[in-house]
Amino acid sequence: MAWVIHRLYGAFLVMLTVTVSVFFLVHLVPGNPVDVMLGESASVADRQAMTVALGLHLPVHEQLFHYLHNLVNLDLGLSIHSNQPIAEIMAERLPATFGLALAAMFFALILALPLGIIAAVKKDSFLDRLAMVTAVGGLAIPNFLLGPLLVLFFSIWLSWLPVSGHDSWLHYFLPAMTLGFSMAAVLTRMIRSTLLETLGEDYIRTAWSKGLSPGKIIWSHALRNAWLPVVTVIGAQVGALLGGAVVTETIFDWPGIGSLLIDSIQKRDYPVLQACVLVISFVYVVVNALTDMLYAWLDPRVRYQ
Amino acid sequence: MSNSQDHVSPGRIHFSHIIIISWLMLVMSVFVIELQPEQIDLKNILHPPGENSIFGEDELGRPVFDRLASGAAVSMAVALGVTLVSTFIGVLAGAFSAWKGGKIDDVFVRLIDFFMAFPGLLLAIALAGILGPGINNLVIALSVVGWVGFARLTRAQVLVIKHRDHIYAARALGSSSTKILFQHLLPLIAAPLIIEATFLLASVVIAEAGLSFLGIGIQPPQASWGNMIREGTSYLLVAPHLVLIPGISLALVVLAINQLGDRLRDKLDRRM
Repeated sequence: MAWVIHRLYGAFLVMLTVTVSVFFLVHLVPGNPVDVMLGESASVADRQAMTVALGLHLPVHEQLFHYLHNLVNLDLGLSIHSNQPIAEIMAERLPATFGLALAAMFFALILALPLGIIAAVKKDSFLDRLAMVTAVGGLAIPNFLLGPLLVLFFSIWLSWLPVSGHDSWLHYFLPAMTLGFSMAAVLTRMIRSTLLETLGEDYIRTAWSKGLSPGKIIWSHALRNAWLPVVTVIGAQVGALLGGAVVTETIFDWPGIGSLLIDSIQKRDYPVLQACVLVISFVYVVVNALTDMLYAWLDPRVRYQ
Repeated sequence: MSNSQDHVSPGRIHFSHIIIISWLMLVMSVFVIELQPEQIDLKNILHPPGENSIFGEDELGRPVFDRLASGAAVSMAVALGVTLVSTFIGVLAGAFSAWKGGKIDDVFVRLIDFFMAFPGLLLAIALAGILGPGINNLVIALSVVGWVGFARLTRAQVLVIKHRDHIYAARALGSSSTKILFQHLLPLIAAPLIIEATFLLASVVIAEAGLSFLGIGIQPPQASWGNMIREGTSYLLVAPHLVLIPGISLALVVLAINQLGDRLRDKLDRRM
């Protein structure tokens, strides 16, 4: 329990520093952010109104205090472009991103598990080579190339799957494949190498000599020890997944946080941009903390360090 | 792990060598041949690859080969820039922190943790979006993300090596810290740093293309492999070569650099 509290405290500290630095992000805008957002032709009155609305007339420490204070009340300010409360926009957009990320992870797992297992069991066979080529390709093909290629193949040539929209479960296929492929590649390699290691252990030989079926040996003896590194990899890949979501959502016009981020950059809607970076980083920090806890739960040794 | 050494003899020409040499030649062609990557020719819009132009023409009739070469030059410039800046800052910061130890090192570890708290690509996207388009801002944004890996690696290595006897000896003989760092520490950790630099190079090539694909990196009409893919996606049905040519080039270059890194690791780094 003490371990969990310690880990949560660490996550909290990181979130605090992230928040403060996201606050200062807007101060990196070359020139005056108000000029940049409103353009050269804006009137003096408009500029002043915007400066006051954003609180930029206050001293920096007061601005920071207001920012943190509002944040605690879940007030992320207003979008400059649509004048909508940003917290509302986030609530609309977050489920789409979560759904996509979960679908991508699911896709990665159902692709990587059989591939990794087959590759390890039939080491050096043709299937192993094929799995490894897929794994290497998955890392070399970036998702902004994979996305259009999948569209070309599945939507245009075969007309099996829809390209954009997200109303039915069919719409999840292409974005999830695009986003999940590189994770699948990493997982396949990981599962293969850990399985190869555990398959050489004494207790596996014992299980064979007891006459257990191959399925049982692999599934409940060997794979059990492969879960730990798999959890680590999934945790470590969440960052890549969130970054990849920005690209994938842009390709497929997916109404999540990633496409909102790119939109806000193009519209110079800095409060929305800040909120996007903040929310994505928070999710990242929380998921990392959760992964650590899951790891500790799976492997008691971690808890006693 | 280094069993690939057994059947790959050092001097053999490998697939990745060919790709990397082609990449270099493509970049050189920008300086040698007079390319016209921004020359619009409306008669030849979406012309497929053929005898007149080897890689065809794009949606404005611009020659895809010329744009590919010009994009390769941009991509290499950004990749080398980011790798050099990141290595320089990361190595100095990491070595300094590990060498000094104590409070300085504590603060430094916090700083690294802080940078690790952001997903890398997200930070680069946000910074590139805030700083605005342009090759310099792109290099800055990607270096802010890139230096952390080097700093971590250098710090870890120096922490181990600084307690070796030859370092104590150099100190006892009165060598300055700078001299010890450059003459006695860095040469010993050069191998892992070079390997890390190779992998960073590959990831920057992808990141530059990714940011340009998102419209926050290299801005049109200047060609980048990323914005070529982006512009090509609108013509996927009628002219797939607009996506396939820069896309396959990108995948091959990244694959080749990564393979080079893998083989360097097998060759240079005995411990891994």
